[in-house]
Amino acid sequence: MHARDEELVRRAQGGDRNAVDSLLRRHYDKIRAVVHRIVINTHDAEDATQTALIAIARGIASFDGRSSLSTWMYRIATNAAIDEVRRIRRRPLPTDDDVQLNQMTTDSNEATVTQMTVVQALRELPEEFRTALVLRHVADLEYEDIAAIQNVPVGTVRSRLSRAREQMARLIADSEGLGQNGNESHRGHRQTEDPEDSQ
Amino acid sequence: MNTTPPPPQPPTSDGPTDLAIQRAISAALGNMIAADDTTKNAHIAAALQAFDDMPVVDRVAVGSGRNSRNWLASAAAAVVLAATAGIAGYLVNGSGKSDTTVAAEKDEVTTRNTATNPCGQAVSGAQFLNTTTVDGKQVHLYLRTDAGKVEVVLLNAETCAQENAYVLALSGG
Repeated sequence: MHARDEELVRRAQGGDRNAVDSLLRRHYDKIRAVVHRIVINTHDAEDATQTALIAIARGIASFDGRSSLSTWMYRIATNAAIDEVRRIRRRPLPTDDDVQLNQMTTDSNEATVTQMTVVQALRELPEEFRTALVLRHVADLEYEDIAAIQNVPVGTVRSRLSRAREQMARLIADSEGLGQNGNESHRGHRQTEDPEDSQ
Repeated sequence: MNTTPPPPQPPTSDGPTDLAIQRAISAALGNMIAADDTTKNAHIAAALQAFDDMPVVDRVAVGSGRNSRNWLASAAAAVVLAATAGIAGYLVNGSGKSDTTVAAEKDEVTTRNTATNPCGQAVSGAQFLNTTTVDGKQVHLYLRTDAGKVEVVLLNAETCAQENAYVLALSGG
């Protein structure tokens, strides 16, 4: 996987359009997920996703390999998403819960309710907390990579994640008492607690 | 002593509730259906169009295809220095003329440098600029105009094999 990414990057940096196409297609879903979870609003998130992809295509020649390709892409996606959030900050966020609901694949009605609650709680988080949470749980980035993207120390990332989870736990507990159905099955993504988080 | 019961506290440490919260967050955030093909293709097409619209000099990474980035960094610096002088001379001799005049002068340029062309015809139609040392390796620098682009070509001074080429400018489509 990584070797193929490297090969595609090498070709893309040589001007190979097909290699750029392949890279974008390979990472599209994760990039889009990161942007959507930061922006929240679906329509604006699609615009930001487009912006991020264009920035990646235009910037691939300058990718120097100091970070992983995915981290570099998520940095661009995050910046595009945050720019979009700041653009729309002055207007109220529409309550497109129905749209959010349509974006979720669910195993059961109970899981649907839980996910809706989590997304609603996510919406209420400060932008920097939400971004840290998304980069950790959607992009699966390490603390160091999140710190680099957010341009803050690792300790700040740890603090943001802890406070974000704490706030979400409170919001979720207030709405439905998650502890009673927390053993439901989940697919993919991080399912174990971060050992660093309890420090 | 405070006799009122403590208010409920959010989970702040390891425990089943914390774990459940993290699982719920991961599941909910990561659980998105993929974009429909139309949207995805439109996004990627727009990005590729942006890529296509870039000048070649911005689209192509300097030194792409080479493994030694340190070597390239040194080489690029040397090339810029050497090429600047060479291009200046080239422009004085060739720019602002009609295509016919330029074509006619190409032979003259090549001929004029034959005596100081250490690699002979190794780079056809190219003008020898200089010999320099990069990271202990001697290279000959040539200026080549071909297929609408101007580039500096580096030849190994011992073997005259091409080491690399750097596009400096495009003269059209």
